[in-house]
Amino acid sequence: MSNETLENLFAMDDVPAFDPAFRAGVMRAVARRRFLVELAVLACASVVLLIVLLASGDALATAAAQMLSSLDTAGATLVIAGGVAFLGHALVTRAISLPRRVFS
Amino acid sequence: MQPARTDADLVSASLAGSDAAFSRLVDRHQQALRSFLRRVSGNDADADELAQEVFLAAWTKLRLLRSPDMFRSWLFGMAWRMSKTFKRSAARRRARDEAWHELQPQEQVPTNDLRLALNRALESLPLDQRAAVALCLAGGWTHDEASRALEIPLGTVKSHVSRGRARLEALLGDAHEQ
Repeated sequence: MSNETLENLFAMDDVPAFDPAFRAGVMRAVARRRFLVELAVLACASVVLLIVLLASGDALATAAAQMLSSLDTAGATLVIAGGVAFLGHALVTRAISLPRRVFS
Repeated sequence: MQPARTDADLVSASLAGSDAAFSRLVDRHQQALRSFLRRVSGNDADADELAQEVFLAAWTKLRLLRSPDMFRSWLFGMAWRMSKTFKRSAARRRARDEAWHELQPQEQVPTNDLRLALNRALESLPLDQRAAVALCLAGGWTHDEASRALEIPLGTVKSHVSRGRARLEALLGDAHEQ
């Protein structure tokens, strides 16, 4: 039996050269796998964050207490900064019509 | 006309997150891979299912591929290793499928005696020999490429192909004469 005869026999069993259904199946499985991997990464990150928060609980409580005690100064600074920003924005966008000098 | 992108280009693009590039790789290799697995496993449905798993494993492990231009050998090597562990679950599934098929109305499917004889002859070969024959005689691979993909020595591949061919010829010759 020649090489050619064997090759022809084998060729009869070949699957199609282009099979969109097969490709779609593979890509669906890839999308599913990607989703699971991302989900696993997110779950790991959440667990790590939770552990860090639990471990640094005391330090965070101290920092929060210090921040509350200095809130008076910080609050006033924030109100002034916000007011300046609002007025500046209104002036630039002409939301407030200021009196203008008219040249006759 | 745009030049055809090599496997290495497509692997790089896939690693950069391109699904289109990976689907091109699937299109390019699915025929050869499924044909190889069909010949090795002897069951078309199992082979196609395994081929899908092989591509999925390839996508997952693509970063481990050291030489992107060796994608084909790497893919077939993985397919060969997975095919050896796939058999257990496949046997269970096949029993279930056969039970289902027995419940279906039988339709006449035109069959080719020689083709059936070829499948039977292939199934009679030892697994390593069958894989070497499937790659070198049916797939047109060189002995060297097959040796790398199957991870067996070059001399063993040559003897597998030579013995496999002799056995196929003997079995098919008998079938042809009957």
